[in-house]
Amino acid sequence: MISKQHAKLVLQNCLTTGGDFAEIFAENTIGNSLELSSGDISRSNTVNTYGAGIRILHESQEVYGYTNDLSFDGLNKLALSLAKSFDYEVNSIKFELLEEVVNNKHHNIIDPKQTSNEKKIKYMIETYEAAKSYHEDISQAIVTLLDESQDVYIFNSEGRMLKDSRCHVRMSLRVVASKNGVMQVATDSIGRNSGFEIFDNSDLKTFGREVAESAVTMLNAEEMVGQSIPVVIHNAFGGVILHEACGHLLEATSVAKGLSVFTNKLGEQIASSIVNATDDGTLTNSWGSLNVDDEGTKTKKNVLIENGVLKSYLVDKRNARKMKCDITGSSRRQNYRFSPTSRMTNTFFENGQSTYDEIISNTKFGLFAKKMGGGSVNPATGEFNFAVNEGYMIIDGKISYPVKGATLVGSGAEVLKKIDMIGNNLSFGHGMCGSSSGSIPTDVGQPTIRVSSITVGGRGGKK
Amino acid sequence: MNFKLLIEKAKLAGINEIEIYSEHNEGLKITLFEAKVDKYVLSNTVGLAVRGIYCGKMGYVSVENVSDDSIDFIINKLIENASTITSSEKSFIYAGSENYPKLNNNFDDFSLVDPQKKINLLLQLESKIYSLDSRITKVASCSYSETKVKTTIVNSKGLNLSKVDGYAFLSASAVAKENGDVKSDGDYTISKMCDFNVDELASKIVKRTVSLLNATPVESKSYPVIFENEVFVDLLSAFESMFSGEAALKNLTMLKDKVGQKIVNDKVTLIDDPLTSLSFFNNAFDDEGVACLTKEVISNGVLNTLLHNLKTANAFNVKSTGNGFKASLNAPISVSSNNLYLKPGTTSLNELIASTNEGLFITSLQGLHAGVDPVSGNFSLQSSGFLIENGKISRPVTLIVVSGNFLKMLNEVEEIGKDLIFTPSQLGSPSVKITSLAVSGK
Repeated sequence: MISKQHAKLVLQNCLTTGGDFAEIFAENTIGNSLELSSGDISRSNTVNTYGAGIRILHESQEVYGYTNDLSFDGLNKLALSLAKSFDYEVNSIKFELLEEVVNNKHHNIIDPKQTSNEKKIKYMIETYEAAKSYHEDISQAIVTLLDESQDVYIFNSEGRMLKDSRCHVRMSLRVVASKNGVMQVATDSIGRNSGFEIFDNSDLKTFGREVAESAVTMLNAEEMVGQSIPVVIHNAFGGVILHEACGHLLEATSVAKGLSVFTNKLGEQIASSIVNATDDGTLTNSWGSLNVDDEGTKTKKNVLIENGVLKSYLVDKRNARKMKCDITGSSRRQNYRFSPTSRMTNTFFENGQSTYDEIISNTKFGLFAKKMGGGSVNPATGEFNFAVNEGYMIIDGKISYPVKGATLVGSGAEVLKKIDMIGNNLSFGHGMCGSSSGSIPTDVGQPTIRVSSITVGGRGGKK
Repeated sequence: MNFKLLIEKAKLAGINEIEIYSEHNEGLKITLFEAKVDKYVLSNTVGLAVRGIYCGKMGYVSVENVSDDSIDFIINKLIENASTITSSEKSFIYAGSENYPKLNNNFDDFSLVDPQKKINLLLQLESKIYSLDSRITKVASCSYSETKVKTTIVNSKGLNLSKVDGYAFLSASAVAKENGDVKSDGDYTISKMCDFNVDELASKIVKRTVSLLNATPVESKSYPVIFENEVFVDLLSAFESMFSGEAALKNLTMLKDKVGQKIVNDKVTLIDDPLTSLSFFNNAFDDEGVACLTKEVISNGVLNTLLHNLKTANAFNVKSTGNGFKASLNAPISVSSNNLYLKPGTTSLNELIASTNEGLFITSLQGLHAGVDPVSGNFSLQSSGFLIENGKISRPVTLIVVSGNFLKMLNEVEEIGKDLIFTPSQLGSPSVKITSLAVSGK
């Protein structure tokens, strides 16, 4: 899309006013989305994202600009107008762009670019049928299938020049159960950095049926009674608690400015000693994985918490300058419209010593949060919230009746210290994470864990 | 891109009707941190969202490479996508309404203002926030952003509409500390002219932040709840899809068969008014080119109409209400409200509080993307605000969960305030007092 010679000239022009680092991030992305509702394909859309972002740094100060005009004149005009906002002594930075080959670790076999809509629809129908036929109370099932093939081109004044190709596929299912004028929704999704072979290797019937089962169970569930109690959070998407209550607070974006409650806490005990947490962008074909981050740095496994002690933050190039520490291959952005910053990839609690059965049987009274929904956190205060999409009361060490409408609230720093049991059944859930550099695919994960006490909100109980 | 060429080539390929929606965006965002420009972002982008009817079905494609090179890609994808559709609802490309409302839409060309002046605004805002209260320890996300958008809709039926809008935002958040407690909050102001009241914004941000210091939860039980106007807007925003004809078409709203019925308390009148001068944004036409108009969605508790685009209106055998909007440039046409607001009453916020013996005044809701379900109307949301005792604000409250059902709550509206405001999200509300809601805390 951009020649080596043009890229070099543009980068040189970026550095004419004292900038000490310049970068071009260009992309050409084809995304397709299909929607199946009421048994019919109701939407089919293709989006071509095409443009480039140019970034210039002076120490940790940043100017960024983006355009869809990828001609030399378009890029150069942008570079010059960006450079205008700096007025420092000019560094004589000399570089030659050296083309690198990125080793692709996340192969796709059934390439979306070569896959007909007809084949994609087969996957959707299989899921839809399984959900719709589960129970007579299922009034609607909506399946969406997204694929996105992103080619990125990165050039920078360190002489780096590389191309990386990413391929993301995701199926989401939303099921509605209705009875006597009451409606209940359940959702789930499967996402990978791979081709459509993931859906040949997944049991879509089970996926569809389980979401439908969740909707029917919750339709008939009692309202959660608000109270502070022990909460057992199940594996897979339950890992959203680590993502919100801890992960966001370890992103350099807020740490570098002293805006996170975990600023200056490296080496300190921030969680109970049984807690080990990792962010690993290298897991093969995982939804949050990448060969290289959006600054061209190879992704790696970053140990965040070891035996309860804070080991690392997630750091991008710019914040590394502020924090005087190493980059962690964590710099990400939704697309060329965003300048990159430190984000999560696949973030999870490592397995512990207990089994799922031991955790339940050792809980006299509490909430079992089998399926978690989304949540959010304020990094400055650490206050978080999560929706529990499918919950059950635990009574005398046994799973009892289902409850709906439960929301967990608390403070991240406190909840990490209150984790008192960790299971050995680590698995992953696939979400979209929204933050300052846009919406990006991330995996959350954990084994079943128990938190000794959390405030649980709900509509039931005392009136 | 040569639109005429695209339309001609599309017709030859069997796409009988085609529409090109184009958007040209120019923007600037400046972020300040500790008296230095932390980030400066310039943007200039063009995007085309094209839709076309092939064999009676509508396909969609969007591109950002707007040279003629994209024409064949667009045509191939339109045909492929349209051929995939199996749903039977009829799709429309619209020739245009007879008349469009005239809007007064003046704005300054912010790009002509010296960037240093914008940086000075931020410097002034940051230092003012620090100066107002010694408990403020950080000012974060202190930013100025400006946008100019030019939108054009052209189609093969002769429609040719365009509009230009421009505005600027000024916003910041602050962190306050006292006795080991940390609170953080922020606020913004939006303007079409270069006339920001920095001092007023700084005071609002400081007040919002420090007033919640040392907040604690309340006991779990049911309380009368007063939602501050902007907070009730958040709830309207979370549940507006209940009034969408598209949601009705997909069986995703409880209100599908309720038009003409009394659904909530007769104190409630909900109006969708794209033309109101009270809102910051107005629209003369929707994203399909249908003229916008004012309508009551709920009149004294009775559901008058759902909101429709051409397709959903046809499916329900009614007329489009001019609510055929898309969520983003690249998204297909859907249904969205446009300046949907709750009709204000005559009571002031102070009177609402004074009339409350024991209750909660909620000034912030968190997790709105997770803790709400617009299909069932249920919500369960992290909230903060103040405890009211004997008609007076007694102390700040945080980490509580307020739960309810949107329609049941509208049925239990006790009083509606007179302090109607509109937010940039094009929704409006006064403060609202609800007789009783479940609150979880200690």
